[in-house]
Amino acid sequence: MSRYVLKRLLMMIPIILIVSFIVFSILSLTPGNPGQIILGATAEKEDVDALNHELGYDRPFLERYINYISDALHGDFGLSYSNRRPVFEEIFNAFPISLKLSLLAIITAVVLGIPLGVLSAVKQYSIVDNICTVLAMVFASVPGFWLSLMLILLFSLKLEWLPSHGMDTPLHYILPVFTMSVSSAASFMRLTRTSMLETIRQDYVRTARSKGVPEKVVISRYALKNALLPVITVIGSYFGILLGGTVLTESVFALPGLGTVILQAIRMKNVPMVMGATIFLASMFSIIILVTDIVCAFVDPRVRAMYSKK
Amino acid sequence: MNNLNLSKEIMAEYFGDDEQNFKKRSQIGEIWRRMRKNKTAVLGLVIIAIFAFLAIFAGIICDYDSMAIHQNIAERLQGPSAAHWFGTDTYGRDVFARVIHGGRISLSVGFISVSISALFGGLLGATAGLYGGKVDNLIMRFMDAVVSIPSMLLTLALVAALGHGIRNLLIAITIGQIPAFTRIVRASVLSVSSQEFVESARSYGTSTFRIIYRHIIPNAIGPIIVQATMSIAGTILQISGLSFLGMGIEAPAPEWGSMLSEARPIMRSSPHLVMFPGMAIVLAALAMNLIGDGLRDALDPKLKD
Repeated sequence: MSRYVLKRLLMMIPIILIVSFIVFSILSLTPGNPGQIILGATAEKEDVDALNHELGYDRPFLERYINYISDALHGDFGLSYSNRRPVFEEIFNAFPISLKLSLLAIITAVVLGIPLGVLSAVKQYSIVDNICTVLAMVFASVPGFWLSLMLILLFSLKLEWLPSHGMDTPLHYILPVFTMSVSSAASFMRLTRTSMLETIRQDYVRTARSKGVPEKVVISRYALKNALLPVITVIGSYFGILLGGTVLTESVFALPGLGTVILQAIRMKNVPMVMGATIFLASMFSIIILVTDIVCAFVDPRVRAMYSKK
Repeated sequence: MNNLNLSKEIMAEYFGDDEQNFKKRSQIGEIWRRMRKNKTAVLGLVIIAIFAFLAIFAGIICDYDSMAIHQNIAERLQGPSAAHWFGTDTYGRDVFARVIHGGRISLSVGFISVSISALFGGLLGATAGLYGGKVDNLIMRFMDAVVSIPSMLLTLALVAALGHGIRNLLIAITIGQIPAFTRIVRASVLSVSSQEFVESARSYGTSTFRIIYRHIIPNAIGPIIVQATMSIAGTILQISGLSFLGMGIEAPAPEWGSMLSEARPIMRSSPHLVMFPGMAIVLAALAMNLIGDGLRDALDPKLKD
C-alpha cells in the first residue's frame, strides 16, 4: 500500500512539470512584457528594459523556463507583478475562501444528491423518481452564474432574505454554496440512482429479500454499501473540479477567493501569479485524486485484497 | 441457389415467415429506431432543431446590423411586447434578435470545437492505444497534465494569450476538450484490439490501417458520439461563462454570456434581460444533454430489446 502511494506521488512530479511547461508556454505567448506591466504604460523605455533585464525577461524562452523551475524547486515562485509580494503569500491568503466554498458545496452536493438518488432508485418510475430525474437533468444544464443571478434576484433583491455579496455571516454562504453544489448534486443523484438500480437487481439482494430481511435493511445495509462505491470514486474528482472552478461564483458574489485572484492575474498578465496558482491548483487536484483512490481502495474489500496480496 | 433457399426455409421455420428477419437492419437505422422511442431524447432533438433553424436563418428572421447591433436609445429597456418579443436592452436593441444571433455563436463554436477536439483527441488516443509503450505513456501523461489544470483556468489563460474573438475562443475551448476524447478512444482501442476478431484479422495479414478503419472505428464511434454530444452542452456553458467574465466574445457581438453580464447591474428593474439569454443557455445545453443521454441508451448493446 505505501509503495503504491509512493509510486503515485512520484508520478505527480512529471505531471506537475508538464503543467508548468504548458502554462508557461501559453503565458509567454501573451502580448506585453512584465516591465511595461509593472511600471505602467507611461514608463520610460530605459526603465522598462532595465526591469525586464532584472527579471530575466530578455533571455530566451527555454532559459527563462528552466530558471523559473529551478527557483520554484527552491521554494521561490517569484513576486506578484501587481504588488511585489511573494506569489504564495497571495495564494494562501485567498485559498481558504475557495476551499471553504468548495468543501461546503461538495458536502451539500453529497447530502442532496445521494439520498435523492437512492430514493429515486427504490421508487423507480414513481412520481418522485420522475421529478428527481427531470430536475437532475435540468440542473446539470444550468450555468452556475446564471442560477446565482436568478437566486440573487429572488432572495436578495425581491424577498431581501439573503445577502447578495460578501462573506461576513453564515447567511452569506447559502447562495454561493448552493449554486456551486447544484450541478455536482445532479450528477451524484443520477449516478447513485443508476448504481443503486444495478445493485438491487443482483442475486445477493434477492437472496436477502427471499430470506425475509426487511426491505429497509436490504436497502440500507445490503445494497447501499455496494451501490455507493462508484459514487465515492467520483466525489474526489468533482471536489477537485469545484476547487478549480470557483472563478464564476466568486465573481458573481464578489468573494475574494483564489478564483478572483487568478482572474485578476490573467487580466493583468501577472505571469508569476498565474503560474503559481496553476501549479498549486494542479497539485491539489492530483493529491485529491490520489486520496480518493486510496479511500476507494480502503472502502472496497475487493480492491483492498488486491493490494494486500502484493 | 438451392442451398440458399433451403436455409431460408429453415430460418423461416425458426423465425416465422417474416422476410425482414433475413435483412440485416442497418446500424444507424436501428439506433434511430431506438432513439425515437425515447421521449426525452426526441424532446432534445426538437429543441436543438428549433435552435439550429433560428441560428441558420437568424439573418432572415431579424437583420443583424439593424436589430441586434444598432443602438436605438428611444426604445431602451422595454419589457416584452408584440414588437419586441423579449423586450429591449439598455441600448434599445431587440433582445430576441440578440438571443437568436447569440445562438449562432454558441452553437457553431460548440459544434466546431467539439468536432475538432474529437478528431485530434481521437487520433492521439488511437496512436496511444495502438502503439502502446513509450508513445502511449508520453501522450497519456501529457493528457493527465492538461486534465489537472482547472479547465476554466486553462481556457482563460489561452484567451488571454491569444486575444479575444471567436477564432481564439474556439482554439482555447478545443484544447481543453481534447483529453476526454483521447481517453475514450484509447480505451476503445485497447478493448477492441485485444479481442479475437481483431487477432484473427491480424493473423491473415490485414493491414493496420484496415483494422483501424474496419474494426476499431466502428466500435469506438458510439462512446465518441455520446461524449461529443455531452461536450457540446458543456461548451455552450463554458462559452457563456467566459463571455460573462468578459474573456470571451467582445462587446457589441450578441453572446448569451456577455448579454447576461451587461444586464447584471440593471437586473432588478429589467429582469427580462437576464431571463431570456439565460433560458436560451439552459435550453440549448439541456437539449444536448438529453440527446446525449438518449444516444447512450440507444447505443448500449446491453439495453437492446
